[in-house]
Amino acid sequence: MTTYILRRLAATIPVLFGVSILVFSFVHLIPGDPAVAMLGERATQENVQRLRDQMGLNDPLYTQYFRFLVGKMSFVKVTDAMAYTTRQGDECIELGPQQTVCHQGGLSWSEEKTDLQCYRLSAALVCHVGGVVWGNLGHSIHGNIPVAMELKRRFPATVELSLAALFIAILIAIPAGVISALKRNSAIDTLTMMGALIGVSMPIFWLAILLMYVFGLLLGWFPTGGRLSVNIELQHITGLFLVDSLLTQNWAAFKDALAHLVLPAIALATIPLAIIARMMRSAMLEVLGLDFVRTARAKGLSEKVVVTRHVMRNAMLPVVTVIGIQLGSLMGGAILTETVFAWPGIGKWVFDAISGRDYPIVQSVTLLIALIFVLVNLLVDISYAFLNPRIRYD
Amino acid sequence: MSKRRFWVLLSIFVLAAMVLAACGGGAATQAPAAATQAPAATQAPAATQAPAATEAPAATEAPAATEAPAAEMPAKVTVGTNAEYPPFEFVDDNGDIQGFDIDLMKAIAKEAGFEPEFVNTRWDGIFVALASGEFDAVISAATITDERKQTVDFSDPYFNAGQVLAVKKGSDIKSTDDLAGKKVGVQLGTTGDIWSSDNTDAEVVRYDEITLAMQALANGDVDAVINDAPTTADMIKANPEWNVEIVEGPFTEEFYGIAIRKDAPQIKDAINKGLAAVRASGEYDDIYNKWFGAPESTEGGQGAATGGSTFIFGRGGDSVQLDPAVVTDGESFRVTNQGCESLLAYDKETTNVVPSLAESWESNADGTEWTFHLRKGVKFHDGSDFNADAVVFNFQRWWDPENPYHFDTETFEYWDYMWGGFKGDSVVTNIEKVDDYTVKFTLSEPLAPILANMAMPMFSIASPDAIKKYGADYGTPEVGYDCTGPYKFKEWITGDHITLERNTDYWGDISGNVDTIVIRVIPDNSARFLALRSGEIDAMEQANIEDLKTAESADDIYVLTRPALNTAYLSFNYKIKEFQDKRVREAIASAIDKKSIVETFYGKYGEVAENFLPPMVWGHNPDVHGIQYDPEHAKALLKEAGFENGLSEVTLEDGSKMPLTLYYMPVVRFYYPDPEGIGQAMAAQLAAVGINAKLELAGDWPTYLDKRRNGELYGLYQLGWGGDNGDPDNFLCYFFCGTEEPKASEGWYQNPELAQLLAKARSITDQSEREKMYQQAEKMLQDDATRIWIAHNKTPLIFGKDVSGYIPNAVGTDLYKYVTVTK
Repeated sequence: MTTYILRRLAATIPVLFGVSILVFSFVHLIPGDPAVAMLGERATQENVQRLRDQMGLNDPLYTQYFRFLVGKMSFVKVTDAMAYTTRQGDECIELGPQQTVCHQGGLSWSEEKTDLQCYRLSAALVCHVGGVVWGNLGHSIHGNIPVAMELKRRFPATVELSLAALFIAILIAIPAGVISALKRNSAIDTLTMMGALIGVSMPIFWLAILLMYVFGLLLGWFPTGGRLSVNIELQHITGLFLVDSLLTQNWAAFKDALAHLVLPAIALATIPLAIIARMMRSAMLEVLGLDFVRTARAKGLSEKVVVTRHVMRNAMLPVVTVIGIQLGSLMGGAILTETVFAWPGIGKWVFDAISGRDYPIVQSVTLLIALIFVLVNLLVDISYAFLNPRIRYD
Repeated sequence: MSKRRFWVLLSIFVLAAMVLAACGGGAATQAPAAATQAPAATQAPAATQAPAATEAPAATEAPAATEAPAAEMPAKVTVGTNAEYPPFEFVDDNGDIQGFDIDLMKAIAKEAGFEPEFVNTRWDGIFVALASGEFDAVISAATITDERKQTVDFSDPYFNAGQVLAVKKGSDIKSTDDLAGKKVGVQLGTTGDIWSSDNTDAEVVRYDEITLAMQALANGDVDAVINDAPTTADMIKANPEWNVEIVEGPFTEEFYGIAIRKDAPQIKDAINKGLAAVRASGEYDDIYNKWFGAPESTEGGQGAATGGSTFIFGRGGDSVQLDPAVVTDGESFRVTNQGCESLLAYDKETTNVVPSLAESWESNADGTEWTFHLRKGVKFHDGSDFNADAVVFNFQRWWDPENPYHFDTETFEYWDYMWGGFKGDSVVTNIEKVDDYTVKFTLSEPLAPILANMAMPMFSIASPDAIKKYGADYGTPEVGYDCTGPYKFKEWITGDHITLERNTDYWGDISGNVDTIVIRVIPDNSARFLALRSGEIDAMEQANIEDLKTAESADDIYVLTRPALNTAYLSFNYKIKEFQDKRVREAIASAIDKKSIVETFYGKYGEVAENFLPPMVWGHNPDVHGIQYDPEHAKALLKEAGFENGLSEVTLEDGSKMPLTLYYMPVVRFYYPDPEGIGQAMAAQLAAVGINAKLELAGDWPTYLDKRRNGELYGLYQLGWGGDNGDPDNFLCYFFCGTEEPKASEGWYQNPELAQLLAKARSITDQSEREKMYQQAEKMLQDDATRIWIAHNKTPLIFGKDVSGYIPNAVGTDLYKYVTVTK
């Protein structure tokens, strides 16, 4: 099992590499560029050219790709004279005027103020500025904001909303699917499946505004948007506000964060809910018709045991797959829900980044989403082994 | 490089010669000089860069020279320091050595009558270098120890870096005697740890980092922190929000002294005397407060005196960055306008220029030298002084690409655009300080809109200290802005909200009662409107037409409008042969019913555009009424031009044919509230006179702009303009200056006569003369049927009825200091 997981993890590397090439090509091949997006109506020949030069957009695409991938690389041969120790006892190497890297443990040497990072290989330093392979996502083109920092602020918001939505979806969809299957062709079944059909086909945008209008404005039960009221203070630890408020036992913040989460989570839950319920129903029906179910019943097992231990467990396989895919796509940012509920997650951010041709953001976030998809798929595959003992990964 | 090295070598030579000449003692001094040069040369080969090379040999010569038998005080004293220990000594972004020690040494030197020359060196070996005569003295936060005293002398102690006691403000712990039974935070293994364990009955809580201990104190997890004085003071200064103060100390002794080489007692005496004088005069305290003092005006409790209201504004998008010099988006300016001020400002809702940070100004007769007299007694939010140095610092930063603060990663688009490029190309040729409160700008030629430019929010003055401190991070969410205005930056949660706080030291009046401004992002128009109606926000901009209608009739909310300083137009691509015929252009213009478009799509907020310049801009020509809607006239003109059977296909320059296309904008802009709908209406009106235009979407906004810029929107295309500063030049010159040649970004339009007229109009300063020229330009555009002006649009803003005093400004410099919220 461990070997299997390691092998799968290793396989993510070529996947991410491929994704990076694809994304890079896509975002650079669409017409328009960050310079034009920035200048708007003011975009004229001269200032766009000058900006493109400054942003390095006039370099050949492969140069830009490698800069994105590995950053600006340089090699320095270290002589004893360049190395010294500071008064705090840090080891440092002076690379040039006002450029000094200090030892940060392991092979890593870096400069605090800039993005310069080096690795020491005996007498040589391999240095780079930026580059995703080193874990450096770079800065946004518009506003020069570190992408990693922004991601750290926004990704937890998306995770919190996705998990809440998926939680609601699973909580309702699994029982609904099971009941529908067991009472096949009954009124309950018809109603449930009709509900699911509506759930899938209802425009989220419309539902969101409706929820907001009824529960936010008319009834005043929930706020219409945002994650936290502006007068509520909360110490950020994980970035998941419910978790943070529990950890700090900040009940006012917990209540407020929960109130903000309810409407967007419901709006976002509708589609996965409908999909999971339908999948659960059909998987149950399929398994119910199999021979071993008849055998189990013939053995005199109670209907409850037959359904929960045998049928449901077997029916869960495709359902878990679907849940995994849903989780992956929710994490990719729910642009519409986030937009309507002013939820500061990655969905709206990436959408704006695409409109602004902010390449570093688009590229980094796409890689992250690809990584999440790969990991969620891995988790799904692992969970198969638990659901079905016949599946082994050796 | 070689040229630079030559000058460096020359200066070394000259310097060495001067030092030698000064002492006059000839041969006797030469030998030690040579002797000390050897080790120095081996010590500093790493310093391969030119400046270091100059310092090392020069430094070795100087002591050699002063080593003369007569123990005379030298005029110049070389002072070594390891500038890696802020705030005592560090290298700022300019490459200058700064810090408490440096300021103190300068003050001592002034009193003692010598000139210090600072040399940045490494910490390891600094005393060896001093003993060997490489420097005369070392000031580098060095603790006086017996071991060091063996090789070097020390001055009297100048700083006690002993342990101090820090507590939350208002705590009942006043000294280390009160610590019994309390929790004391320390850094593991430090003097503070050992001292607390040995000398108090407190519960000692040990942290890996002193920052964690201080944060624990701020959060109330521990009752006090014991740590060394400089670090503690520095952290408290950097984090006023912790509300922490030092109540006792230092109660242990760890003295810093200035080390002096043993063979220079006269220098030691001079330094000691100077130090005593600096202490006696109170200058020591000033320097101490500069580097360690608590910043002023961080105490709260002024809310009651100022009204205590919160104003929450809802908008569609987030700010890009809060350094207004490096962004171009209105959402960034919306925020910085509340806290950052330019030399001049726009008055209320207009673009009339009024004094702001400059109280008055004058120019020479030909308008090439402008002098601005600055307001006195203004402070930046960080407490530093606003003065001519600050103004020059900011302008130099924008103007000069070689300036160390003109960061490579940033773009100064508006500077480029308003001031004709950067140093070398720019119309600005010099920016200088005349005295502390006077700044002079020299121009290569008169620039008529200079005052209007000076009031633009992009050219607001930021604290030089803040820019030096944060570098390219200035303006990012973690840092925000630091200027002089009525509201200080507090917090930016990206994608969610920005919080600003009243500046209680503001130089001017805050006529409203708002203490806290929250600017929230709610991207969806309908959602934003619901948030306003449910009272979650107090005001908003950009609403759907239906919501606006609701707002107009509702009791609990009301609408204000921003004056219309914008123009929507329909443009021709002149690469199309048919469009080169003025009769065709006029026919198309006559076929479009602007009035019905405005009524349908703009409602009561729009008005039909008759000029390019909106009526509120001077230079608008009241005698020019645009090309009137007249379908019959359109048909007649078409027939005259040879298209009696209508026009559905056009010819490109290479002779190829393509369908007549009308490109509509892919995004809503304030001047085009519904580009696609308006495009359909236009196409229908054209069809009525036999012109069949194919409606086309040319990609998303950057794509559209890119094609427009390259002149590749072959057909009719929508676009518009919003004014930046209310000067007619800002409308007309942007589009039609440079049309001596066909201009790609203007659909290959060419009109040398117009281009010359506009170039001339921007270089004279007499406004009435300029006004005539712009009116003439409008006439020329009309006569040529250059473009089809569609509408000017007033932007509506919606407010809750608790809000009063809001003034929407034509260029968007709405100031919330006028706003009163009653709840």
